[in-house]
Formats: sequence, C-alpha cells, structure tokens
Amino acid sequence: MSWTNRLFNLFRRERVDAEAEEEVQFHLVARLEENLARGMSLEDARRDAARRFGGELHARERSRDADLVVWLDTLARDVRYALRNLAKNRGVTMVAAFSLALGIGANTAIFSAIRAVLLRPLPYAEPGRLAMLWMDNRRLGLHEDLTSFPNYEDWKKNRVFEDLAGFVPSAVILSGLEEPARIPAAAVTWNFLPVLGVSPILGRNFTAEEDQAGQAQVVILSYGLWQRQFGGDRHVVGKTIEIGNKPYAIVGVMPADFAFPAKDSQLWRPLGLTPAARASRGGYFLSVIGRMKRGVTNERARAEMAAVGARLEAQYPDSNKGYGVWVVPLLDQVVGTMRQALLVLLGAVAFVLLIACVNVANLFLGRGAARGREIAVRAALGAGRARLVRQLLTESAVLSLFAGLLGLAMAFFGIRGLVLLAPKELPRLDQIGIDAPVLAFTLAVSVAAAIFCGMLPALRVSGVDLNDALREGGRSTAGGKRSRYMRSALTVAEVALSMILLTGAGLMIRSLLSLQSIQPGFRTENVLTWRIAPSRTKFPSRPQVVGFYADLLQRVQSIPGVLGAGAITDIFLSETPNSGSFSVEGHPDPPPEQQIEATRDTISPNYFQAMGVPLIRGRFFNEHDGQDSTPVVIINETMARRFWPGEEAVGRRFTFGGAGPNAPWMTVVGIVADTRRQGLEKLARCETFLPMTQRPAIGMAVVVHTASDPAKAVGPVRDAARALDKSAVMFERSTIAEHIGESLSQRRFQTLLLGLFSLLALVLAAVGIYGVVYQSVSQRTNEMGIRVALGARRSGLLGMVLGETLGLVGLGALLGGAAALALSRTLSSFLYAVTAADPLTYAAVMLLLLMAGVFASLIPARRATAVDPMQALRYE
Amino acid sequence: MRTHTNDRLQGTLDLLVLKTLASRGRMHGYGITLHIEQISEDILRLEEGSLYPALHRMTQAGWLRAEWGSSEKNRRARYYSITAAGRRQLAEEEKHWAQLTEAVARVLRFA
Repeated sequence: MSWTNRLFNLFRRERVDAEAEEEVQFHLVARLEENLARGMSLEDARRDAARRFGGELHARERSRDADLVVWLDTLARDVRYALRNLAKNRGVTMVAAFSLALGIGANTAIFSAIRAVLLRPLPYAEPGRLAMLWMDNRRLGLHEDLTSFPNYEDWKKNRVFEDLAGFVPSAVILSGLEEPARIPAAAVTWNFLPVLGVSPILGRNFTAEEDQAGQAQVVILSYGLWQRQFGGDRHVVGKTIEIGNKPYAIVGVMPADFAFPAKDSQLWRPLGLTPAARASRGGYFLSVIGRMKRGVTNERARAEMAAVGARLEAQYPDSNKGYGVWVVPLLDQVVGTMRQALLVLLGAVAFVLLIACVNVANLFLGRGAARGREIAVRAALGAGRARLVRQLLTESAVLSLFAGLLGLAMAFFGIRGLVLLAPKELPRLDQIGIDAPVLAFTLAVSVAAAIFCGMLPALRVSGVDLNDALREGGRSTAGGKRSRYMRSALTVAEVALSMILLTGAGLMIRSLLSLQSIQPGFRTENVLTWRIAPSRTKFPSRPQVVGFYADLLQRVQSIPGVLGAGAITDIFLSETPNSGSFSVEGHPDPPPEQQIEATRDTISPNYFQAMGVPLIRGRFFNEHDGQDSTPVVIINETMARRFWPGEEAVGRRFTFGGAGPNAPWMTVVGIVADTRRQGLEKLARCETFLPMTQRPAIGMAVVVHTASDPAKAVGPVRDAARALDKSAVMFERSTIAEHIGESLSQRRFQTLLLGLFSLLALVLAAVGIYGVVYQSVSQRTNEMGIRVALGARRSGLLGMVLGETLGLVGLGALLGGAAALALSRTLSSFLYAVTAADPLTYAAVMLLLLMAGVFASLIPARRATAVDPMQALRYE
Repeated sequence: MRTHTNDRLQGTLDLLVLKTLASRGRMHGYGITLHIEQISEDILRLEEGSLYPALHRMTQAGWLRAEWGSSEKNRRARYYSITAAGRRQLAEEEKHWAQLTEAVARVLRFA
C-alpha cells in the first residue's frame, strides 16, 4: 500500500475499523450458519464458531466497551448508522417524528404553563413561608371568609407565625385628572410590606403611627402608577397625589413585579382604623396574610391556628360561634383551581405522548422485524446484547431528539395559542415562555420517549428466538407469534389511552353544554352593565346620591333604543357577598350556628324589569316607596320557600340584625323568580332587595336593556352621566353576555384543550392502528393468497381482518373505559350535571373509537385482501 | 528478498493464503478458511481469528487486493485476490518452503 493510502487511512481509521468488524462478523455468521446446517444446537454452534475464531473476539468487544474514546467513537458510528437507516425510510420516519413532535410539543407547552403558574416562586422573600388566614365560616360552609380586627389581633397570639398583616382590597378614585380614574388599591396594616418581605425601591414603608385613624394621609405607589402619573420621577417621594379630591403624600414606590393583593393593585395606603372598627369583633372586613416561622409546616400552621380559632370560639361565642381559622398557603391561594386544571391537562398530554411513543415502538417493531435476522445472528454470536440494544436505542434517540426540536417549535406556537385561549384571570399568565427549565423538561421528555420507543423493540429484537430467526431462511421475524402479541398489546394500550382521554373530554364537553344551556333567570342578551358613581363633592349626602341615580336612569330610559334601565349594588354575587342574618317576625331566632344569612342589595324601582326577572307574587317597588313610608323588601323564591313554606310570604316582616323594640321591620311586598347570580352552576341562595329610596347606596351598577347591540348605548349613557356630574366615575363597563362568557372561560379553556388533546390522541391511535394492520396484513399476504386460492370470499377475508382489529380496539376501549372510570374522579370537581360514570359518554366514546378502528383498518385490509393469489404464493 | 528468521509460522500462513488465492481466485476470509481445511483434510486447522490480521497485513504489503462484494447468500463480504506482487511473493515463499522441507527431510533421513 502506498504512503498516500496510509495517510488516507489515518483519516479513515474508524471506517477501517468498522470494515474489519463487519468482516469478522461475516465470518462468524457464516460459520454459525454452517454449524446450524449440520444440525448442531444453537448453543453448540455458537460456542464452536467462537472457539474456532479464537480468544480475540471477546477480548475486543470488552475492551471496546470499556474505552471512553472507543465508546464515543462507537456512538458516532451508531448515530451515523441510525441517520442512514432513518433516511432510508423517509416517509415512515417523518410520520414517526411528527407524531412524537406533537406529543413533545404539547407536553412542552403545558409544562411551560405549569412552570409559570404553579412552579415559579412568588416575588416575595421566602414565599413558601407566606400563607393567607381566613375565617372558616362553617355556617355557610365557606372556608375563606373575611375576619374582624379583634380576631386578627387575637390570631397573632400563636406559635407558628412570625407576624400577621391585614389588608382590605379596595379601589380609589384618582381625582385632579382630566377625568377621574378608578384604580385598584389596598388599605393595609403598616406591617403589610415587612410581612411580605418586600421593600419599596424608592422611599420607605408606612410607620405604625401613620396606621392610626386621622393620621397623615400617605400612600405608596406601584411601579406602573409611578411611571404613568409621574413619568418615573426619581424625586416623587414627598410629592402629593389627589385621591377623592384630597391630597395624599407619596412616601414610597414599589418594585415593578410587586402586585398584591390583586394582579393590578396600584396603590397602597394605611388601614388607619377608627377605635370603633378596631373594637368590633363582629365586623368582618379584613383579609389576613401571615409569615410562618422557619421550619413550620403548612400542616402545623393549620393545626395550631385551628386551636386558636377554637379558643376564640369558646371565648366569644356571640360573635365567633361557628367560625374557625382557615390557613391557605399563598401559592395555593394565588393559583386556586388552576392547579388541578393544569395537572389534568399535563396528564392528558402525557397520554398523548405515550400514544405517540406506542406508535413509534410499533413502527420500530415492524422495522426491527425486517432487520431481525441480521440482528439475531449478531446476538447469537454473543456480540454484546448491550451493544445491540444500544444501536437500536441510538436510532430511537436520534428520532426523538429530532422530534424534540420539532416539538419545541410547535410548543413555541402552542404557547401563543395557549395565552390567547387562557382565561384572563389565570394568574401569572404573562410569565409563560420557554426558558431553561422548560428546555430541560423538553429534553428529558424526548429522552424518556426515546427509551420508551426504543427499549421494547430493542429487547424484543435482540431477544429473538435464534433458531426461528435463522431457520426461517431470511424471512422476517415479525410474523413470529411473540412479536404479534406484543404489537397487539401495544395497539390495545394506545386505544385504552385514547379511551381515557376521550372520556375525560366527553365528560367536560357534556358539562360545558349543560352549563351553557342553563337559563340564569335573567336577560342575557342586549344588556349593558356599567358601574357609575357620582362624585362625593357634588353629591355629599345619600338622598342626593339617590337623586342622581333617579335622574340618570330617567335620562337613560329616554335614550332611543333603550328598552329599560335600572340600578343595583351588585349584579352578581361573589363567593362572599354582602349578607347578614335576620330575624323573622313571629319565628323564634334559631341558635347562631343554624342561622341562615340572606344577601342584601339595593335596587332602583325598575331593576327587575330591565333585567327581565319575572315577578312571582306581589309587586315591584314604585314611587310610593319613599323615605317616610313603610320599609319594604322584595325577596326571591328560595327565601320565600325556606322561611314561609306553604304560606303566603307577601306581607310578612323580618329585620336584619336582632329583633328588638326598635328593629326596623321590613315588609315583603314582592317575590321574584330565582336567578343564578353566583355563577351558572350555583343555585340561588336567600336574597333580599331593598329600594334605593329607603336604603341608599353610594355606588351602583347601571343595567341598560337595549333593543339591539348594547355597545351603541355606551356613548349616550356616558353623556347622560356627564350631564349630571362632570366628574362621575364610570368603570367596569361590560355586558351580561360577556359576564357569563367570562364566568365560563376557565371551563371553556380546559374543555377546549382537553378536547384538542383527545382528538390528537384519537388521530394518533388511528394512525397507529392503520400502521399495525398494514404491516400485519402485508406479512400475511401469502396466507391471504392461500385462503383465496382455497375459495375464501374476499368479503370474508376483509371481515376477518376487520374483526381482528375491532377485537383489539374493543378490548382497548373496555380496558380504557375501566381506567377512565377510576381516573375521572380527578375530573369530578370540574363536572356539572353529569357523573364521572356517565354511561352515554362512555358509550359514545367507545363507538367513536370503534368507528376510528374500522376506518383506520379498512384501507390496508382492502388492499391486502385484494391480493392476487398467484402473486401472493410466489412470495414464498 | 524477505528473511524469515523467527516467524516461520507466519510465513506458513502467508504461504497457504497466497497459494489458495493463486489457485482459486477471488475469495472471502471464510472461504479461505474452509478451503484450507478441506484441502488439508482438516489436518491444518487455522485459528480463524489470526487469519484476518494476516490478510490485512498482506493487503497493506500490496500482495493482496481487497474489495467488498456480496456473498452467495447475498450478504456483504470482503473478497481478496492475489496481485502480481503477491504472485512473486508466493514464488519466493514456495521456494523457501521447499528448501526448508528439504532441509528438514534430510535431517530426518540422515540424522
């Protein structure tokens, strides 16, 4: 050999190695075959071949695996080999990579949401030690009720919390601008920021003195407000800002990422309670956050505070009977029901990925079969089973990593879609993105997928029965019984997984449909809602405010296209609505823990007409219900049924607070139909409505029933309000339809995604069934040919193939149905008007899967049964 | 001319391979093994593993030419054939072998 060749060989070293190895392999295989042909047992044949070759063989294999350089070398060779193999079957590879990529992409997108919403630490010092403390209202079964200041002070006497802080989320009116603006704010105890462990970036925190009633008027601004109102002025501290026409001194500015208690809190001021408010144990208005001592677990905090609550209950039975203390870790509070929703979705995408993996594993099994003989022989020679598994795993790893990259690209777009679809109230949504942990997750998922896809076929193929493999004379081993069983099992598995997902989605869709078909009891179309509050300076007294609303409603009513207008303090009820206990005339008061509270709202005379709520009995309010006439009230049906069952409630009297000689008895003049004001899924509670003339309210929401698109009324309504009061504050403009849409947005989001993922699962499973049937019938071409030659009818053959497939699909659907039954319990909190075991959903999903099964197997089955018997036989 | 001072055995293997290829043409390693076994009626049994280093060495020395082809069973195998230099070497080796066996025979006859 010339020196040029030698030089060339230096660069080709690894190729020379590979060739040498292949040569040896050839030799050993040839010897093995000859030995087998002579009738030696496999074990003898292998030992003989190895003995004749000499000791070098095994030594070489061993040293290869030990040497890192060689190991890397081998890896590079495996990768190149894998690439060649994958490129050879480009179509199959693309289908496999694409399905894997869909699975990986979906997982990445959902994980990025989970990371942003559930995993990312809150922007406070040691956020894990923060928790919210609530009154556990056992009377109403309401765990997160507000507390009173004396209770808050007593809660501080415990061994688990370093300190507690109280706050009241409220809005303030920024005046002194061209148009007054209402901004979300909070009134807080002076130690609020120290408990959260956050300091202002400019200025200082409040002092204890500033937190006294009637003390200096001071505020701390949010970063956003500082930027917007003061252009980020570094010397803003000491300047003033006008709130409700009074100047407040700015003492500090918070960092940009600080937003508590609400996502959009923009201003903080001291609570500054009056001595009376500080002393009222029955006045529930305060939210409480606490910082746990280091090393205190949530469980311990919960137990300790429950004990504190029980002590207070015994000490102050009048106010505290039936109330405990409820501790919620802050992250749980922020995330709320989204945790379970996101985890369910993560489960769903994991299933999708599993189905994709099963498809790829099946594909590899089929392809492995084609290479089965080569691999079997190498395995027989003891050429390192680990080495063979590695070779096959490299192939699936290359495929998975490619799919991972593709999936990452899909996730990038998926996340955008996710953000668009997500309900607005989803916390920390703005932080969703692909960052290092998300990338690590994607990589981990891809590797896991690679192992899952590759391991089964690798073990299967490398563990192949050599006698069969070698004696079949070059025919593939895929027809082997064990291989067929495995592929059948995988098919059953993917159908079962799809069944689980589809069932979950089906139940969610049924729930959403039943919710959407609910009639809330009020008008849902063409109703504009707008909170409008007159300025205090122009309308200082309550009667003046009532006058403002009366005039406003009259003006609005006369706007062309407006069919009706009314006002109410709260159109919808929150979890903790304004409510109170009351005494019914002629009924003895029940013990405090059995008392039922009724909500209290102030309305204008025409409110119910504008909202389309029917009157059941009695009358609506009218102009005769004045300040000096008999106090009157309208109640809803639920309240009438509950307190005057089988009796006429109209004309009866009750009073909020305790009955006494001076109690202002209110006479029921009307009963209105129940409405779902607390959310579509909640039944009405006991509700009372008082006329604004008798119980004036400062801020009310105006509802305007329009003949057509309510947006058209916006301008005229604004003009009407401005004509009465130039500085009236107008906010929260919406429509009833939008309110209802928003109340369903989380459910719609969840249902849509779950539906999307289960559809993906269905498609992947169908592709998988197609592939399995295709490979299985093409391996049985000659069987088909023989059957046809023996006179079998083609339709019979088709039926046979379809029957086999449907058997597998049916089995998978049954297994999946059983698993879904067990798993759908995790969904039950999301379900409405449908049980987790809803037979209709299960039957429909099963039918859908069977249809998908027929559809997926029909094409390959027809192709195979249309075979020409002569040609099929020639294949032998 | 190469001298074979202490590696007679290697020379023997070279001789057998060269002779086989010279008489049978293009063959793969396994074929060479079988041929030598058959002709010698299983008396000469190679340690098969040592055949390949010898083949590669002789290829590098330019006595053999190696090329990939497909076997009777349609599998990839490396085929060797003898070159002109190989034939010269074979003649050389044969001469040596004859000299050696003659020498040994003489010793056996007269010692």
